[in-house]
Amino acid sequence: MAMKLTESQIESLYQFTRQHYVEYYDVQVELVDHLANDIEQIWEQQPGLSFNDARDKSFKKFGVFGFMNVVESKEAQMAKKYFKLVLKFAKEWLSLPKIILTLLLLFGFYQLQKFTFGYEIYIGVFLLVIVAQFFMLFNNSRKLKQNQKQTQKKWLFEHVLSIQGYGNTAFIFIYFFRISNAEEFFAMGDFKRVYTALLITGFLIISYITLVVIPKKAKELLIQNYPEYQIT
Amino acid sequence: MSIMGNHKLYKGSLQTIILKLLATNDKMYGYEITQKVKKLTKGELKITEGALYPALHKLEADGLLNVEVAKVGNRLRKYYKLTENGTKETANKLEEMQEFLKTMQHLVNPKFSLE
Repeated sequence: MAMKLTESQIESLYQFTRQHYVEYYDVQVELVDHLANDIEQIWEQQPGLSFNDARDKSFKKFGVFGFMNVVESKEAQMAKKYFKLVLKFAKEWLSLPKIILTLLLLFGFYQLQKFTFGYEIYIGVFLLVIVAQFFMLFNNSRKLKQNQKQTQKKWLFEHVLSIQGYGNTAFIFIYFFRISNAEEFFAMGDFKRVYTALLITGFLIISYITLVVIPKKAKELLIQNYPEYQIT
Repeated sequence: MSIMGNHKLYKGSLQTIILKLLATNDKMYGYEITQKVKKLTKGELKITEGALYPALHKLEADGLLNVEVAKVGNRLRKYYKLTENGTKETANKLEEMQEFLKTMQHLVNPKFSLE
């Protein structure tokens, strides 16, 4: 008769993955099932082996880095998923009806460059988004922590959606803006004017997507991404 | 993929192997894949866990695989399934693999002829 793992042994495997730096529940699920299958298989050949010994034997098969490769590949996968998601929403801004708003923004920002306060508005928009990002970041990490306390579960994609996804746009903007003062701003040539207007419009739209659109749909997106989000 | 013994040659074929297995088995979970490969190759090829899951995650991120979760006994199990794109890609990869095998045949075991 094949030996099966008990409920408490399964629970101890979850603990085991946590001890080995697998923070996220969605990654733990897969690893626990794998270890459990392997332990049951090991028991078929060596029925006398203790649970802990069988578990360690199975864990050794993951190699010297343990679960690290698995966690890393999952993180890369989620980052990619998130990026694709942002792109999907961004595309909406390039087709009707939203493209009208996009063009208006673009035109508005372009025109602003003619006014003396144009530079201040550019910087103001940038700072406003940064402040909003920080606010959301603190707010969300507090909420996530509360949730985790209740459910004892951390979801990688939830973390990406509500924390990790922010801030990236700001870095991109800083990197490409490359204008350090008002004089430089007013001395821009035609090409650079269009480029700068494009940049801030894009920045605003992407920030809006990451800060407003995606968090609003977070629950729906999580269920789509994690069938187990509902089961558990 | 670290392979038991000296079969470094299998490296680089892991994705194709996974896709092919899923094309013939509808849906599979990670452990099942390692066991299936072991059985089909009579133990010649053992996919290690440290390589299998990253490969599965990558295929999923590329939109070639979908995930389903089911409660099996007292635990949750993640099943992988080919997406529509995945099915197309499997055909491509298998074709590439056949080409590769043919080329290697020519190189390793050339038939002498009077052409």
